[in-house]
Amino acid sequence: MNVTPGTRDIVRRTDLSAAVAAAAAADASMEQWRAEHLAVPGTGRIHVEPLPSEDDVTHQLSRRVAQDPTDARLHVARINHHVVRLDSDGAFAALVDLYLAFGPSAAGLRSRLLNGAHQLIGPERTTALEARTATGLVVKDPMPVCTGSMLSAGVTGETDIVRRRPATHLEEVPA
Amino acid sequence: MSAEFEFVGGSLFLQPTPAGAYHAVAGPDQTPERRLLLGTMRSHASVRATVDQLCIWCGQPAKSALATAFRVQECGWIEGFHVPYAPPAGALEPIAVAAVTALSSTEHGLLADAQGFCIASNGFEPAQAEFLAAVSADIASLHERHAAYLADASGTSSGAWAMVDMAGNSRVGFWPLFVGEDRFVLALGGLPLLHRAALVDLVWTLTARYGTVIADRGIAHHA
Repeated sequence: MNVTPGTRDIVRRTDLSAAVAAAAAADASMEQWRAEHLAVPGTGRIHVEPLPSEDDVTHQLSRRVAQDPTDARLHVARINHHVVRLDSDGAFAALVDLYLAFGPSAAGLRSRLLNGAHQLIGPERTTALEARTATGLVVKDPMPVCTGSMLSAGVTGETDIVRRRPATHLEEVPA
Repeated sequence: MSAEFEFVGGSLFLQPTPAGAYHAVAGPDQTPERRLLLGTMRSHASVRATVDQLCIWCGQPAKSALATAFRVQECGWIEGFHVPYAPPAGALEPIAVAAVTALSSTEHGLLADAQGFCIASNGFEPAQAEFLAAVSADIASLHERHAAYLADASGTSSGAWAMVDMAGNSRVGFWPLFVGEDRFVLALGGLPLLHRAALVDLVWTLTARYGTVIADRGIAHHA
């Protein structure tokens, strides 16, 4: 049985000059350099292979985070995708999803990625996230408007409406 | 249980969050949670809540109403502001067009009624919109006939359907909206953005026009 790997190099364009091919290769190389060097420090080599989908990379990463919110590599790749493209709203939405996904764990990852993106998302949104770096977010926590978040309920107002009384009130027993 | 919860949101004007607005109309069953969410949208603008008001909205006595409100709050379905909010006034169509535009990453969306008529559309060619509106009605009817089996088979009670690509990503999604005795379908191309405030405006506007019959009936039944 033949076990050698297959090839996809079956039909070639004859009108594609060597110069054009070299330019395309250089563009790809530059794109990879940007992805690795302009990303949040220490995370530029974390890549996620695109799936065969009609979506562009931005939408595909968003959908994949919604499908598997606990895949940290997806969150890193998505945040870096927006950071490299200087997409402020996209980076903030991706950070909000990261903060919602892991509960109190992954504080180190949140801190690193927020530090890498804070200049891009601005001081107001950085402050809102910074306060929850240690604990993460829960779905009822209000956040500034974040277009593109996949895990947010869209809460922007106050959610302290009904409180559970402390257990001591319930346990008081008359002598 | 009487001492379990306390109401502290008396200074806030309550309204559903986008996720809450979706939950309010995502199914036909009138649960206390849905009655509370729909209750906040029965006025032309958000109102300050009291415990009595929560009881009316939920159709429950105070103890149960507070527990319901707490559950809704913990799900991120309700929020309060220090100023009242009102959805846009005026005809339904321009409000719905603005909403379906905002709720899709590619600004492709439409709202259809149960008979397959297109109420509002953006981004689709007129012929496409008419076709999708008709398909929306068929899908809603199909789902209704097989709802029980589909819930068992899929493990979810969601009534939303989608046309997907090879990776399973939706190209066009169809979300049924149950408002009063009427049923609508929200069809969106691209990536759905249902956490945006435009969904609150759309559901609130539909509820104001079509939602009072069921809401009144639910309250009367549970009071």
